Amino acid sequence: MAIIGIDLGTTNSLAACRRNGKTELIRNSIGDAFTPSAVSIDDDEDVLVGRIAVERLISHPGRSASEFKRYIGQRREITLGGKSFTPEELSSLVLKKIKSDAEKYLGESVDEAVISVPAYFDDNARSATKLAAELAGLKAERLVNEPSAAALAYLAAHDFRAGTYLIVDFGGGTLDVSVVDAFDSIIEILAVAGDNHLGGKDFNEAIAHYFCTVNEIDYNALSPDSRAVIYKTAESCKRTLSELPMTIMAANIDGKQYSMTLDNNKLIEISSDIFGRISAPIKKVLRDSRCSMSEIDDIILVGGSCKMPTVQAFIEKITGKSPCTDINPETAVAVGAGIFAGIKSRNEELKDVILTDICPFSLGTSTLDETSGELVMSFIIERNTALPASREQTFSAIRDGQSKVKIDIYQGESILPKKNLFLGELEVDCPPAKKHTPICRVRMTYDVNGILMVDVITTGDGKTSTKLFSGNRGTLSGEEADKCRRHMESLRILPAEKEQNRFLIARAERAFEEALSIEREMIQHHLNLFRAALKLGSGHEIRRTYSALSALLDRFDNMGEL
Amino acid sequence: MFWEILGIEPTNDISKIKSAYAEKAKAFNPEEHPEEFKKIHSAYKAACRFAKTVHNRGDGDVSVDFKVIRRQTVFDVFEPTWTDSDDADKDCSAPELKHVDLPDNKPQTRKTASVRPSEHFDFSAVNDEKTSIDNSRPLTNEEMVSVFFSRLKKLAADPDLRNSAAVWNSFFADCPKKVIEDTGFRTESEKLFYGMLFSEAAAKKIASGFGGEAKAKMLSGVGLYSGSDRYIVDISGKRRVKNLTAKEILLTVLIVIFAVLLITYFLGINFFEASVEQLLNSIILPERFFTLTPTFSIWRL
Repeated sequence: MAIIGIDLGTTNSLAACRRNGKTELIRNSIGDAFTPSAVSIDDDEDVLVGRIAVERLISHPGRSASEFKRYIGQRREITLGGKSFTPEELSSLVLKKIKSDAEKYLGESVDEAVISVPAYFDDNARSATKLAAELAGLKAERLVNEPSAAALAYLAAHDFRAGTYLIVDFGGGTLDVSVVDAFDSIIEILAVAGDNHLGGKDFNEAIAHYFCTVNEIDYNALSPDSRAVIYKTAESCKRTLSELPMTIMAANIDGKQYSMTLDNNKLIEISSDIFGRISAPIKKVLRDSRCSMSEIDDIILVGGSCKMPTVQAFIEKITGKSPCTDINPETAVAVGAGIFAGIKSRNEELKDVILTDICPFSLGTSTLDETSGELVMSFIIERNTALPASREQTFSAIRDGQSKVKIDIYQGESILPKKNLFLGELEVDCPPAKKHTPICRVRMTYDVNGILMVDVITTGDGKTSTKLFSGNRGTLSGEEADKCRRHMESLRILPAEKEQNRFLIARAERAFEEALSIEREMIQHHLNLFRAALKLGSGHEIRRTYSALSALLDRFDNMGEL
Repeated sequence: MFWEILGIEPTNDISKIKSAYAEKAKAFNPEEHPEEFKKIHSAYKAACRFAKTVHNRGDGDVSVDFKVIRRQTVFDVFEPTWTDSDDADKDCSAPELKHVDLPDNKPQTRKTASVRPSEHFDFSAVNDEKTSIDNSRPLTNEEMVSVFFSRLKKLAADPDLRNSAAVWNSFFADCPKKVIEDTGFRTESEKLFYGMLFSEAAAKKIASGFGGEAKAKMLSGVGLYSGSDRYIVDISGKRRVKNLTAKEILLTVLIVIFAVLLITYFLGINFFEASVEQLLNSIILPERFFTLTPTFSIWRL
């Protein structure tokens, strides 16, 4: 029985664990550490997860989904092949796949995980992530903030050397920035800030839109299939620009060939808004941690988007410091989550490592502002308070003889309660109090697992009423969660041994859509042979046609032609 | 006292505090001893604040302003009911008090080959003002004005925020007097508020926040907005809203009738003899009616 760390990403998910004093990345059934967070449903109603689903995003856009992490906890429905799914359910399918791959890799059962989430995930998104883990059969008591996990990975790689670090985690869909103070194998997160809706995906969109503008294509009039093609080419164009100064983007839309050239300076120009939004969280986190740039010893870049040289240069430009790039930005969060899993399982060599995280949002209750007669927030636990934390505040009666108080709990930073996230409420009867005299004390305790406890202690008789906000509520009630679970159980997940073959077919189908004339026919010919071999069930024939088709596809994917 | 929890003598040596904290924290780690850890962590934070405050007063000197120290200790768990009322708290975090650096083992920042120097890229398309993160330099007056004006714009754009007096209360609490008195800020705000409607409480708050000749005026009587709680803010004291009296309405109506007559006359339609169709024609066709539109702008306020 092992505890693993999972980086459940917007585009890719990874898992890691501690073995023999080292952190290892877990390889999936096709030998890759990255499992794309994508789900697809095939014509036999089988659920496909990972690389196969990514290939099918182009060939079967209506039956495939990715980037659902962006909507987790938001009560959205995503329809795949006529069935509707919540983002939690889709995430749980990804987690289930990771779990079974990890069990195969480790050779033992895995039933607990430490999952990383963007620091800026609010309570809804966090509960939804826990629910997704539960649906996948994983106990996820602890969620670790992604930048904290990255800090852990960086410090573990550098013998926990002392210093203050700025961590920029710029992934596929989110940007998180945090300031971390490390000394004596103690890692203290001082502050976090972030932008929940900024990521590598936005660069892809900017490139796709620019491509349409240059070639005078009306983006809104395109079919979903053509959009998916442009989008995929835009993404690979962005990846090429991380290695080469210039690239040509070409796509085949409705039988017509379009192309444009793009270099990094042009990329900056067309995505200037995205760059502009990067600095706001950095500014905020420095202010919140009361650090100036001169006190920062090193800047650590993690997340796929930090691989872009333009992003690195931009961060260097605005901070005036050259960022550290000696840890792999794409795997750091997973490695950190793996180390955290080691801490969680009380691993001997990690016994002395203490990571104190913080609560990213303020928590408070609404109170009456007497000068204006409006409800305003009274914050009890301020954002960036170290966890575990307890804070207490005394509240007074609004009118004479008041004998009831309603404490509603909100999470967020706005002065107006209704602009914040409502977590719950409790009503307490108390001995009548005079106007403007203390009526009760409210004590909030927020623990390391994100569980909030609210105690209301009445001043008159000292009685205590307690309510627990377990972090597993909010998005779904118990009944709904049961319904969810049954829904998940009804799905058939493709057995792993079939997976490779399915993957090849999905790849061939995708290549077929991208190819033209003679290449199309060649792919189709080999695909038919492979399908026929599968039907016959002859092992030798399957292997032969498999290697022929995969060689053909390798050539096609590498050269763009056969 | 927090020194007892940490088990050390009062000191302003941050590295001593840190190692004492590390020792205690490892003995009572947050996973197994959350209650003890909370106390240790708050004591550590309080000790750090103490050390930063006394830093420039010389070693071992504990005879600092007691009020400051007390406020720091009560900040966390020790006396949670303490309320913030004066600005001694700000002393604890004053920016000029420098962070104590740990000696030696500081990491060196490296440059690796994969990072290309920024001069290769042209970031001129990215808005410089927005992206500057230099927080050590105090803002100039102009920057302050622009910061507060953009905040004001944000508040005004959101109907929920705009109509809340509490929101404006906190805005004016933050906004320095210099900014409020800045003529540029006032004219820009006035332009922004022109024709904008607020709740009574919010409008009054804004007017009193701006001070001077600023007034909150109720839109009353005739107008498109007949609700009695609709207010408009007038910062310059100049007449911005026309409260139409009965006389003025009569006058306007007369002008309109006269203008219609005049136009129909010039268009060759005898008002009194024209058929209904002809009349309708002259009214519906926009270019013929064009000269009358300015009169209507009074009503649009």
